[in-house]
Amino acid sequence: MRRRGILSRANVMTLWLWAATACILLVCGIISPGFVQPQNLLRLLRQAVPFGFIAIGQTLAVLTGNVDLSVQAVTVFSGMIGSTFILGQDANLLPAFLKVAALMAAFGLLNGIGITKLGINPFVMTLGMGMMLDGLTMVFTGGATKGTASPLLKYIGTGRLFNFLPISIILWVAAAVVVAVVLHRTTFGRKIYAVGANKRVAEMAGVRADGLIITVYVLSSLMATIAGFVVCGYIGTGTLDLGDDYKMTSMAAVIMGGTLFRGGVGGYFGTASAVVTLTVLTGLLTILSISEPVRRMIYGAILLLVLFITSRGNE
Amino acid sequence: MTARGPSLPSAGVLRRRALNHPGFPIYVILLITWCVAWTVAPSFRAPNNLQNLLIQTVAFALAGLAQTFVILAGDVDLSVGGIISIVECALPLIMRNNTGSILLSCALLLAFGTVLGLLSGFLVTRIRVEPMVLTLAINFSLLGFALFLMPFPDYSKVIPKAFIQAVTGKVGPIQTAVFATVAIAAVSWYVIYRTRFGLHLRAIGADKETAFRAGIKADRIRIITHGITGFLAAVTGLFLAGRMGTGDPTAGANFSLDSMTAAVAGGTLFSTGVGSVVGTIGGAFLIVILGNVFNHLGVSTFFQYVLRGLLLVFAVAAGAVKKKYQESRGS
Repeated sequence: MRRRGILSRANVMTLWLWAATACILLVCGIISPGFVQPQNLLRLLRQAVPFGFIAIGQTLAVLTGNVDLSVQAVTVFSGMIGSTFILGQDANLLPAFLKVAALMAAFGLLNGIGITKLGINPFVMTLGMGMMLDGLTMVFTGGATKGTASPLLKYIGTGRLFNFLPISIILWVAAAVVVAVVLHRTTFGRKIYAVGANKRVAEMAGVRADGLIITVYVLSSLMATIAGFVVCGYIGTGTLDLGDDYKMTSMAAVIMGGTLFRGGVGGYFGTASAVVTLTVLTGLLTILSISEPVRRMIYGAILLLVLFITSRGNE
Repeated sequence: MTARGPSLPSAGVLRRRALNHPGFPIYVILLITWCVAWTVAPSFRAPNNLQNLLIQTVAFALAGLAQTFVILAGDVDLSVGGIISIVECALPLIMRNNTGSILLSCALLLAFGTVLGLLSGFLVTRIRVEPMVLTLAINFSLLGFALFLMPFPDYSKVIPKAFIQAVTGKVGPIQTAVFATVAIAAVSWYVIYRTRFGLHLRAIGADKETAFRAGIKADRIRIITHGITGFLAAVTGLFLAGRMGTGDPTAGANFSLDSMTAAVAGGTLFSTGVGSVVGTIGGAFLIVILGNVFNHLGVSTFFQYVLRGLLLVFAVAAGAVKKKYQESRGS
């Protein structure tokens, strides 16, 4: 008995998220009026772009009833290795991206094969592969950043259209539109929902579920690769510390956005809304000068709370 | 004392039992690894290296035992790393240099770890989401708390000498901690395989629904099992703090996964109720030996993470394939 249209479950969740965002912004505005200036809000949102890209992959994975906890490692790897390939030259940017993307696509492929063909639990598979990739990042770079982003990548990471709208936000919005169209207007999208809702039934209806899940993992790795390059452009070089643990926060964003953890229900608009809410929340916690450890505790508690709320209705 | 005990099973039965034991493959792998290490790395053969291997195994073995309990009960607990980190970071803050304080701090931290475990267990049974997600979220918060207690390894907060000596002391050539681990493993084995509680625990792991219908109080036993896991994680934390001489908010984080590697490599399968305490010890030993060999061969220490990730994936893959094979043979 799924409610459809305006009052669907995901839409109601999204409404709550925007209400929460408005409340947080209100509190921020009262504490520090400068915070709610458009320029500052856009700056805050720009920092959320890598998170937004990672959350695309996570949404797809969760929609199929799986999860991808290797996204953090892929993002770090892409940024670190990407910058060593780019070496500050625009000419190197595209080859560097293609090389890293090919590697990460293969990595996603391995994740997908392990989970579908060998029947490995998706959590363990992606966590283990993430741990391995973190190790590889350290082996290749020795833990130190090498190379820098090229001018073009820096422009993508920090540039603004008409001196106002950050380029990276435009990219994110464009990607979000593409994802929404793919999910709701293509057979590939419909198949993702079908597999998530009931894998066996989808297979009986002729969907190659395993191949689809593998594709989703490849896409997820590619999204995290883009996120890694955006981070690289934003900071100017690769980094080991993304400042947040995106394997956790991306999962939190997906679930807060109304995508059910068992798969088959949800979408990217809700996730993107949750990304905005979490980013604004981080802004508020920063104004309140709450330290990173406490912020982590708060995020963990929020995730637990959301899991608790969303798990009640669907036993 | 009139009745005679059951007669010993014949050699054939014993051999079949050993070969079918879930912990059997890991010891074959260990033997091969040992032989290879012995041949390729000359410094591996040094007598004090064995001592080194044993003491390094302690933490992995204890954390692995903690994980074995919950996996046997059909759950999994990724908050092991968080509990270890909290205990490690809290110890230097509360322990003072007198016997009373040392004993009290240890008791307090063990109790705290147990309570955290019970809490995870409570949430896992109440919130109908995969335990993997829930405990990952809990772990995230716990690691935050550990960082809050001690943002970086703080060498100005000294752990009392007496405690460090108690942890690192030796009986003959072997550290007391090694004996303590063997004792804890023996008790764990007894609890899992020789008590009613252990039987119920494995029954729940094999099939929750059937166990529940047979009248087993499944939720209560799962919560207690998570409590045991929390307790063992706290023991691991105490040991690590004593060994390093101070707290480190990040040193424990990897144990969430490493504990799983030890348990799964040791033949404990997810959601089957099948597993092995002895196997887990073997799994822990394998993690240490592999790291040690690569150290002796002069491979980058960073490579160890690659290796541990691979080991986890391989172990779980082997388990998954074995389960598939057994299911296809059974049906």
